[in-house]
Amino acid sequence: MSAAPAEPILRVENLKTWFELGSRVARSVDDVSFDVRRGETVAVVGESGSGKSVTSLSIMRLLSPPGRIVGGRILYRTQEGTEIDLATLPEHKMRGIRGREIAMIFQEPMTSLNPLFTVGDQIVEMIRLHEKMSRREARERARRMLELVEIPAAARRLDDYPHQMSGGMRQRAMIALALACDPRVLIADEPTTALDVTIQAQVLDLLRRLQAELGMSVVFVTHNLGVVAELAHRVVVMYAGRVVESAPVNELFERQRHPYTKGLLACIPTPRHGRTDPSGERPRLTPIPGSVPNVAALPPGCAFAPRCPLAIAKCEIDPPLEFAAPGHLSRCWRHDEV
Amino acid sequence: MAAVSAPAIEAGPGLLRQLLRRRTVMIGLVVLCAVALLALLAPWISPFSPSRLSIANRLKPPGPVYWFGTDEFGRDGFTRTLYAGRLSLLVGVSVVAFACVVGVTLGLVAGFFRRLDTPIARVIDAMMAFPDILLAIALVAALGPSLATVIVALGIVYAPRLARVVRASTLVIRELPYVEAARALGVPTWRILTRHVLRNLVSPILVQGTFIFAYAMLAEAGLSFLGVGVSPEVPTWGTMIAAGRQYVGQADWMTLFPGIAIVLSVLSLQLVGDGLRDLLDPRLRKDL
Repeated sequence: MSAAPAEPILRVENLKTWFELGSRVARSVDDVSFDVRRGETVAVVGESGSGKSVTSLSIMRLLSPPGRIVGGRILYRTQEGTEIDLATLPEHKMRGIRGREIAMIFQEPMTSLNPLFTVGDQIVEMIRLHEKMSRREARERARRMLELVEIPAAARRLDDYPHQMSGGMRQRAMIALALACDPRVLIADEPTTALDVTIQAQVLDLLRRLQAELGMSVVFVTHNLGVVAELAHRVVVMYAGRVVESAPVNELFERQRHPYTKGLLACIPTPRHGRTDPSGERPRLTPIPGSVPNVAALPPGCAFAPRCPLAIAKCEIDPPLEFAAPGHLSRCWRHDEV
Repeated sequence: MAAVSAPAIEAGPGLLRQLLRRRTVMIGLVVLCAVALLALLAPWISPFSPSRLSIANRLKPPGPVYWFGTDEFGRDGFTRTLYAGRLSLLVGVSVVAFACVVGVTLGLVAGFFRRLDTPIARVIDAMMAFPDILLAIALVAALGPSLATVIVALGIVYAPRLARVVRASTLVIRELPYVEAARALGVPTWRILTRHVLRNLVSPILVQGTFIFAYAMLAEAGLSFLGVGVSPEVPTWGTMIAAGRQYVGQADWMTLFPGIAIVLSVLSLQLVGDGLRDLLDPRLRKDL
């Protein structure tokens, strides 16, 4: 946890990313705001369809039609200290941001590397694209990157094709590729989801170490709250395209201010669930009933109300995202009673 | 996953070795090389000049002096068949090159940029719906007959075949995670196209190119036979057969030998093309 609150390097303000399909509009990201400070890891958590991936693709401006940023700002603070709005930045300037300032890694380590080129070639391409550097220097840097991500025999591995590597090793190579130009922000979209649990832990360790060593900011998109507890400084919980709760990680795990977050945590198995209580009963996992609503046909009012155990009549009116405690935002009328 | 887990199919020395292991491909390659060598070395191999007239030796049947006989002007059939081969191969190579440049560009653009896909794909479909030889005749008629126009016309006729294959593969590759990952790391579009997409298309282009080579040689012969190709004095296999048509009753060698030459080269090209396609298609590779 960083001691002094650093200045925000990335500020997402009222971001709206909609998918217009004929007359229907899917508001995949609707009025989302959060900050990422320098050297901070922010986890964006939510189920499938909550808009967390669309948010990260919006920041990178990698949406494909019909997806479109229809409103809001994505303010990135450059090294010179000026803020630029990535939501409206021309594409050719955006290309200089991607990889150089903000890099992204994806869920599929198996297919995120081009099978036709060696890993070394791909890192060298990436470096020489953004920096003036000879092939030899770039190759040396590529080797150091592979060492940084703890790939053994890095010099030899440079000449490996992706299919010669295991899944975990490929994700490491992907991280090396993403970090090769020393970006200040890394967006990781479920980077461990496709990996074995043991490999997951290794990759998470690696990301945490790199984040601390390189002092970069990380936006970690995941549906796995267990991962969040280990890695993040702050958590943004999304539901149906909106932020429903946002808080420092410890605070969030101690005291949830939104019934959805509470429900998510109740779904995580703990050692307690394996044991029998003194009363002779085994504690059961409590699922959240129902499923995420379709963002193209949201009910009026709070989107979580139909699944919410605390729903009241007032929930038909959309609750605002308010401070429930210092530094702790919640979008619930009854945040004090959760 | 098929396209992704296929790094073993890149073009390279390994590919050639695997190709040569097949008998039909081996035969095809040997015949093709022999035809190409004979044609290229024509000035040194052939006993006569292709345009040497000899009225005394009109319509001589094949024999020890005139291996393939002579034509109605007493020109040596063997010499002319070899020289004609040079032109036929030249036409084949040039048409493939022309069709590649046009077809691959169109296919890449149509496959990669959604907005341009529909207009380009419609044009491609329209051209594919037109009979090949008819379209070529129309184009040659419009451009005026010459060797260059034959090449351009056939290039235009065969470009849509390549464009269609390239477009289809590009549509698939465009959506692959590593293309998105490349974009996420700031790789510019033209580089994604040339480096990441095009490199993946080498195999289908190679296969189509081989077939187009064969079709082009055949089509050129057809055009020349119909009299809309190169001028009748220029020896190509097509013009030779066209000239021999009048004498089929008395001098069948005039059509026989250029005909055999066409069959041999087209057949060998098709064998090589088939072999390439089987080898580069992982589904067909298993049972071979």
